[in-house]
Amino acid sequence: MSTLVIAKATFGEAWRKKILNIFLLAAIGLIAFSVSFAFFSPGEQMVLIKSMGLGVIAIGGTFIAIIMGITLIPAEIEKRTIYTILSKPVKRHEFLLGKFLGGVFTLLVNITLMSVVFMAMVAWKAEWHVDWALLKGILMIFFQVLMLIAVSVFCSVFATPVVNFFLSSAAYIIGSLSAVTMSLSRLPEKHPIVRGFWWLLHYLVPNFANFFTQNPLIHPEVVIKNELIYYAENILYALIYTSALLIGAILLFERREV
Amino acid sequence: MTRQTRITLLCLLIIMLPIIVYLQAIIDPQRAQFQPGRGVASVVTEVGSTPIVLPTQFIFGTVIGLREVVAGMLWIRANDFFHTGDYEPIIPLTRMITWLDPHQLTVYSVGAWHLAYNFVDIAERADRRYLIPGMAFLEEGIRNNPTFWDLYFEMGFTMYFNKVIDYNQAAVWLRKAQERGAPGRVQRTLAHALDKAGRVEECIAQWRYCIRDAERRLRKNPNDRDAQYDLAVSKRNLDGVLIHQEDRKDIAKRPVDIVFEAKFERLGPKRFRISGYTNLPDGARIDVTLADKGYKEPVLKEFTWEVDPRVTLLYDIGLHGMLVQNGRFERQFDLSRDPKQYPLVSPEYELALTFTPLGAPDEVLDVVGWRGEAMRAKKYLDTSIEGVRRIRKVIILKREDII
Repeated sequence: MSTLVIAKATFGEAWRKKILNIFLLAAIGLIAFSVSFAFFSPGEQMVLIKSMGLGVIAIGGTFIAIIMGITLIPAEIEKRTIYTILSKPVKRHEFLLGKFLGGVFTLLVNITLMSVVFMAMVAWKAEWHVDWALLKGILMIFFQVLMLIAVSVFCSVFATPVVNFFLSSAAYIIGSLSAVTMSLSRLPEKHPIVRGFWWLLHYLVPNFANFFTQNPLIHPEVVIKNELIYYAENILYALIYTSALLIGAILLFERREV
Repeated sequence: MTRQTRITLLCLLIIMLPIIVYLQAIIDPQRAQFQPGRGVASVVTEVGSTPIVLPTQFIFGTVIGLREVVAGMLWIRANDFFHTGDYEPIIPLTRMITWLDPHQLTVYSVGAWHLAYNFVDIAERADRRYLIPGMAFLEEGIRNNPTFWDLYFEMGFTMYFNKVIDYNQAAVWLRKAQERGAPGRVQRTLAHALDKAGRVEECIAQWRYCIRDAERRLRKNPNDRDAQYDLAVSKRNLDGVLIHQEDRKDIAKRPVDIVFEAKFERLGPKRFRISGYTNLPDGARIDVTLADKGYKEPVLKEFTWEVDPRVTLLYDIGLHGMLVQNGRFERQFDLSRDPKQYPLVSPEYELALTFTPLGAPDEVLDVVGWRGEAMRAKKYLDTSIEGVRRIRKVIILKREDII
């Protein structure tokens, strides 16, 4: 119960943060701006609008997840409000989970708002034909940023916000470059230790690139074989990875002096 | 938190790790099927021997999975270059776009068309050397998008029909486009290609196919304007071909002795005139090709826009061939102002002057036949292409004859 109360408070607090609102407005503005490429043929324009819209939602979600995730716990410690909360019958893991859930809910609402604008723009350009398939891409973006906020929360247990910003951003970039880490881990001419390093990086750093499904969504000729299984595997991956990060964060937070 | 809970959570964490690795291992091969750009090729690639790296401002977007967005931004840039007439950077840009997102059909067709048509000399004659890279670019697009008809049509029509002037090859590619659900206009282009290739029976069969297909579409939707148009045009064209078939059925029994002579005259440094006479009907065209002696078109396995700067190729063929009027033909050439396009470094050149009935206008075909069946000639009759009779005079020139 206390977890939900903290989540609700975190959500309310997040909406009062100007920086997050600016990200949201900028993202919505960019999505709306993408329809102005009127000099392309209708087919090309639609490809641009869809790719740009999904890209903006992804990047907007990423920024919001990192900026929010890195401040969720440290802000409470800095303002010393954590002492008041933990002096009540609230366990540390409940506090941490509450902050995380509040952050996730904020992200969900932000992504939903951006998606509504995006879907409306696409529908408007397609003579009010709604492309529901795009929701699959948005769903993947949500699970991608879910993992990212879990990374930020995990790092925020032991790192300062500035350090955490770089840690989370690095994790996101490395995780997005997983096609590179995968090929480097399989190069036969590399020393086994080097290959092992890349292998560890590829399999242990959260793999954000799994969730880039824009290409099949904007080009009808590109199909994902066993699409449902692919999406299910990715969602399962995101949920397990997020859970693992939260367990790690709880274990560390329990032993941390505040 | 009790010690017991801590140990339980730790065990749970340890169990989760191999599950994460397992899931990633089964996701990886599935992802490779549809995500463009793999491995280190995410930010660096090669075109022939030229390495190309993404502009710095685009690398970040690309590595964080916004490849399609970056491709879109680059296409906007390419569009700007088109409108300002700054053609040079367009090819590298189209290369980057299709490398980032190999499913951009328009970019492939525009890039290939640009290579084949827009590198021109002062007389707006396209640099033939860029035709091969253009076609290689289209082939790459087809390999990446094999189920869509669009690029097969581009290869058949834009390249083979209009540029290479090989109607048989055009028909091969247009048929592939038709098999992949191309619309009526593509089906009609295939019929025209078969007509121009002199494959009359197949041409008639194709017009009938066009009619059946249009009728089928009209049964589904009687207000389908495209189908109405396709039906009317196909019926009219079928009638035309049937009339010509009747008119020309015994044409081989009415042989015509073709008189043909042509000469090369040097007018100055890299300037020359080709002229001649013939009894071919007015409206016939004489193809002119000037190439390094022994030149063979390179076979490109992979796309590169690099062309051999030492090769000289001049092609005035098809509708750009010399027009026969009142039994004469003549054209002056000035290669002096385009040393890059015509380096003229080879010691010898092959100048070929060819009349081919394939693609000739009807008033000419009414005399010589669809495949030149009626043509006889004491000199220059060429039967090197199976089933086609052409008139072809080849003049070997030394470098000094031109420069």
